[in-house]
Amino acid sequence: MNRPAVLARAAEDLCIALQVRVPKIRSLLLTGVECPGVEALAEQLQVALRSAGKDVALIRPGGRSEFVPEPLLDVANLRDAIAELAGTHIVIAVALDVAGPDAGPMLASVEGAVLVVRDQRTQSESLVRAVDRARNLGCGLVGAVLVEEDI
Amino acid sequence: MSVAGWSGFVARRWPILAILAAATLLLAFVPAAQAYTARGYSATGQIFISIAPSPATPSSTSPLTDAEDAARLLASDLTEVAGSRLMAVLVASYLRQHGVQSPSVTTLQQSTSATAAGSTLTLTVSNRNRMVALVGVQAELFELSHHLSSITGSRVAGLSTLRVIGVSGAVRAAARPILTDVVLRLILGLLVTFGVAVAWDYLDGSVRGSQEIARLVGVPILARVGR
Repeated sequence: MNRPAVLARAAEDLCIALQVRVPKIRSLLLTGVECPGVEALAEQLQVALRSAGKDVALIRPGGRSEFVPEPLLDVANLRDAIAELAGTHIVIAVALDVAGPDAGPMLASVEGAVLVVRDQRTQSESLVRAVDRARNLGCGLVGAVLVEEDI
Repeated sequence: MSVAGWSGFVARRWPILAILAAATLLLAFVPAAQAYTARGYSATGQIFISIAPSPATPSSTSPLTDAEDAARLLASDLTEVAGSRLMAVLVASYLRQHGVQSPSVTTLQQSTSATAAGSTLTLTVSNRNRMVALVGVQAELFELSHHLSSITGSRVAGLSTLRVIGVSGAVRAAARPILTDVVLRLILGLLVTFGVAVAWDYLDGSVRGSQEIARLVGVPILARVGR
């Protein structure tokens, strides 16, 4: 199976899982834990959610989004900005790595986070630190996506 | 570890297993490519000894009346000496003096022949622990002949002169059995390969599978990418 098909299938599974587990969630952070390919997965998730009839606002790494004129990370009150956007859309924010500078403000501003973990690559210590960081910033952990091959 | 565990281990560590196994095969078969590389040596040398009756010895008191008889007697005496363990001790001692650690003199053959001109002592000495140049072997044999002179000269009655007039040597490479080397290297290499891979796996702190993630952080796996 090629890479887009693999990602699309995983995104569909993630979409279903989110609708079942957290049907009322309005803002979500998708962040990698020593795992590349998070942005591609988020794009596929956006497609899957739109296919399910949801309005989705994707906030790319750095806070860039087609829905706001300036990067959201530059906005003084990020939490309020995301909450406002979440009033009309399901906000999916992307932070490439949970240890990166994007992740902190995003974790503090969204309702829940999904960790993208690379099987046999992500170090256990990094995963535990990521979970601790999310919890310390008051972000609920929705679950994890296990990446078993390069994306 | 279960079968699934081992298959998972191989799936995870196949790159290191493949690299080390390839290195093992390479190292194991390098000796086969060098089949004629000398390992140790087998040297054959001949020591010619001429004997002259002592002019001071009255012929009436000596049973040796001609050179041929003297040579035969010397040959007999040399055989006796060379056939004893003394020769092996001498060889080992000499090798030690020349820096060979724990010399192993595995073969020591000798034969003698006597003519009117003198006796010829033929020695074959093998040492698989070290390869020495032909010159070294010749020097070694000469040294041995010197020892022999001192020993036999005192044992042969009626002789005042015992002279080594020549030493010749030939070196034949004594290669170790190649198959043994290859098999030993293969076994050792594969053991090392397996050990390194297991140690690598043991020391690797990466997460493996959804169960470990659930155990570590207590969150569910919402989706999988791949497989």
